[in-house]
Amino acid sequence: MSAIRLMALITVFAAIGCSDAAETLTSPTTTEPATILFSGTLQPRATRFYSYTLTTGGSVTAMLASLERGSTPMPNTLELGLGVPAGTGCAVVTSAKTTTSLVPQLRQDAAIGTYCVRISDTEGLPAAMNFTIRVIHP
Amino acid sequence: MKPAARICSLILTLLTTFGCRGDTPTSPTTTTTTTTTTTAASPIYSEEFIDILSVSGSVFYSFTVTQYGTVNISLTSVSGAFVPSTVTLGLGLGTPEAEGCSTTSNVSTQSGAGPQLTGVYNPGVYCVKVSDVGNLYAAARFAVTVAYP
Repeated sequence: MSAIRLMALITVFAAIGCSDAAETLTSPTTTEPATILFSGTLQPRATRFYSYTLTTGGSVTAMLASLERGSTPMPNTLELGLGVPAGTGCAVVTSAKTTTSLVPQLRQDAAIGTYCVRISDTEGLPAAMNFTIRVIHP
Repeated sequence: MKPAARICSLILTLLTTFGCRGDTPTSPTTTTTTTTTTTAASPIYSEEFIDILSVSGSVFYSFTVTQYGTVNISLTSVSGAFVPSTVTLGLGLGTPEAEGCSTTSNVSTQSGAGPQLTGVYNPGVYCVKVSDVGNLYAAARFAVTVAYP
């Protein structure tokens, strides 16, 4: 092999070796919404609330996912609210009277911070019932 | 070694020594350190949390700090039948979480002028929790003063 050929080969290797193109392809980042399930027993005329913290601002939705007496689904109406913990309760900013549903019944745009979801019996349940609230947040 | 091989060896050595240096000479950097001092605001709001604490129980109270500053928590009184006013209760400060108050600062204390708990906090929602640490034989009525900016 001639010296020129060898030099050319070395130059090519050196050029390739000096490439800074060591980039790795990355997938776009997507943030999946988080789901909170708040389950419990609601006594007649009672109120319960559940606090959660948002680390990212965005839209929060809530729905009364189930209401049962024993294992029987119940059609009773309850008040569902979204707000901020205050004092010994949850100071609701938005609320709705609702029965169970598979779609969001409440929506709130919220910044980073601590919030709460509240469930209240304002109409007088005939007996204690088991409920589940689903909160979906960023 | 043949002359051609010598030349190649020399070129190879030079390239491997200097060829991969991707550094670009830069000017000396002057680092300026700016120190920002944020003054903690004094409490400007005050709320009184009065409730009944059951045996082995706990209760909490939420409040919103609107600016970086000092939060003072004072257990000012404890009373009730079969409850000595000197009984020691648990006092905690934290953030509301699920159905409770997740405390990050705790103290077991008797009632007094206080504050028995104090700290500097950022704006946000916080909670004070009062709990029986095993000293109650009957439900106790208590008063806690929360002062915050």
